[in-house]
Amino acid sequence: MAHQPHRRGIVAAALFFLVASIYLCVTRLYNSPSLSNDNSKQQLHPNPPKEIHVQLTDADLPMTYGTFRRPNMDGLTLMANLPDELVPTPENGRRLVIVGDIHGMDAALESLLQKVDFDPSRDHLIATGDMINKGPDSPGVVSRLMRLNASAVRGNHEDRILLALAEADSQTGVSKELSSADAEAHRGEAEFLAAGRKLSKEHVEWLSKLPVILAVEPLRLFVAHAGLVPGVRPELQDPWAVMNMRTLVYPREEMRKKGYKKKKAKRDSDDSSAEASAPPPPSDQPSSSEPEAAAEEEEGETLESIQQKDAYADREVAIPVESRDGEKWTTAWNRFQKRLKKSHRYTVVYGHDSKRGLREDRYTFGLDSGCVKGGALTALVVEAKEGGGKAGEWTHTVMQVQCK
Amino acid sequence: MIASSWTSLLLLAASALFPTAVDASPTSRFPRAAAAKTPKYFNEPGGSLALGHYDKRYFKAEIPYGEHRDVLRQLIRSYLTTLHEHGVETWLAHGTLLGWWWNGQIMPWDYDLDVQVSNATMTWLGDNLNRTEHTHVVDDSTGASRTYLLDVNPHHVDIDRGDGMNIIDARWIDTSNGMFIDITGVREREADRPGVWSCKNKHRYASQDLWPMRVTEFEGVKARIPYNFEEILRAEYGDKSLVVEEFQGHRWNRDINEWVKMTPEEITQSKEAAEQRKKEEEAAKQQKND
Repeated sequence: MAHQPHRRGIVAAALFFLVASIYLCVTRLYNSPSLSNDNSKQQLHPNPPKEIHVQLTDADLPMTYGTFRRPNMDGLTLMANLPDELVPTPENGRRLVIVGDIHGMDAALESLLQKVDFDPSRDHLIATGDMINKGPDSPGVVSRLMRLNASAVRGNHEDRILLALAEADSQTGVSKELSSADAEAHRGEAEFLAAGRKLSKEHVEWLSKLPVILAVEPLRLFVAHAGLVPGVRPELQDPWAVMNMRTLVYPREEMRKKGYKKKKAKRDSDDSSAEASAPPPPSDQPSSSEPEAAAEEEEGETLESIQQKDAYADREVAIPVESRDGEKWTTAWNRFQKRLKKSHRYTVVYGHDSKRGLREDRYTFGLDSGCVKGGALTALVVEAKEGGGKAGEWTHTVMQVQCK
Repeated sequence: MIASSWTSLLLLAASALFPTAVDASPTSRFPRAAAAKTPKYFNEPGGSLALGHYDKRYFKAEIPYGEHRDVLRQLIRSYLTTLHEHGVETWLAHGTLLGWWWNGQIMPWDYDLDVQVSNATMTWLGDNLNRTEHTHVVDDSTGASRTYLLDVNPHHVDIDRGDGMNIIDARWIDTSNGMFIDITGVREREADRPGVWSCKNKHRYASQDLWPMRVTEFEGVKARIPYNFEEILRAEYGDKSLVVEEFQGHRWNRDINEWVKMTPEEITQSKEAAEQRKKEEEAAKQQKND
């Protein structure tokens, strides 16, 4: 009697085991033929490709830079166009005088304008940002720029000063209660606020309306303080980067290098598949897929075609950084422009990098020659090409004065 | 002391009765050490990773995926609006800042939010607004509202992280369901490093990486972000976080500029496409080498 339920339990267990094994047998048998079918299909393939084993890493994920929808910041104006009537043409004989980082060096600005024989009725002055701070007379510089009806872009110094001033002015309630000169110093804002408080209300108003990027469309020219990321439309550039960047880092390339190092560490004997592939890996699309008809008219690619073709290339996605850890953005910019059709190329005139000083490349001009540190103040004088040239072609002259 | 010994007694009793149940709780990773630790001020229901995003006192049930974003959206809107009304300086941090970077919204896989304040502000909050409740209209059409609690951890004055039990200085809690915003204070904690601000969890910021702040928008309301937001995000999450378009089963949709949850088929497809692409690349490489 006592072991009756016990035996029942054993029977139940045996039954469960039986049912389970039948179920598993059937499902496995059902699945395996389909698997072997797949195999045989592959073997029947006319030209069996060499079995390539790939392991997906983060480096294989889709990536993007510049497709975001970041909200606007601080009422910042990202882009402005130079009015057409100020653009040099062979007919109007006008000039653009683009001046690098002035940093409050008003005397140097004055002598540079004399040297280029600046004539307000014929010439238009453009400053590449960082007109203020550090030097002796920031208000004087802004007054002069305003008087001459100059254009300018917002540099990182204008940016920090304007933000710090706006922050200090908008403090109410708690933040006002807690603010003090000491707090400003601890927040690293003392220098910027001191410089900003020397400016008049009109100066601040004028400065805060400056765009981050000034486009001179007819000449295919951008003025930006620090730089631009190639392959990203100006309206999608990150204003912080445009005012602060120095180099570009390439996340996909970095991830691939890391992955490669791991692989290499695993089997360090095999170094036939050398890594040194700075040029992008061969694209999987045949080159004939490019629009041939368009190529007949003009050689080169477009922003879109490069984006599509090189979506997974090492250096298609770049992140702009302030440090010098990456590739100089100008190198990347020039390389990118040379791939484009001639009529799609843009030149960037910038400042910001006094360490590298005056730099002239095919599609970039760096004008910060360290005036405030006792270097020179530089002007790039832009004129339309006389006769014969196509519309929008221009020539340039570089002029400098020594700063004391 | 009393509280902690009670907890340990309870833990002992519980582990004797339901050993597996206790093992499942995340805090049971260090059950023996728990007794010696400082009592945690903020507690979560525990049991799974997802439940770590609720305040134990107000937790009723887990909010499903389809609804959590709206709860979080109302949380951050109510927090930012209320604190701005008091003139409090607060800014977006961590994953919340990353969400701003992409499109000014909460990323759909995030289950909590992070903001920061300076230690001076934190002290002010502790002295003046601690344990205050704030009613905020969450639906303009119906006038429906929710009540939020600002709860400041008494440990907010501690200079270091201690045993790590109280690294969150304050919370803004939705009292209807327990979801919250973590508020942490940053200060110049290290005497030998002036100008370096950090939270208790040792995230360090140079003063000029934080200030001057930028005023922008997040989830449609005015919000502040640190000056060097990009560098801060790179340091915390790596370059990857700024460019990779697939994360946690979500995909960045370039057409609408939003993160969208992928279906299992899409995940498989995307993986297969990536494998195919890589195979072709490898094949081309081999051909070149041959």
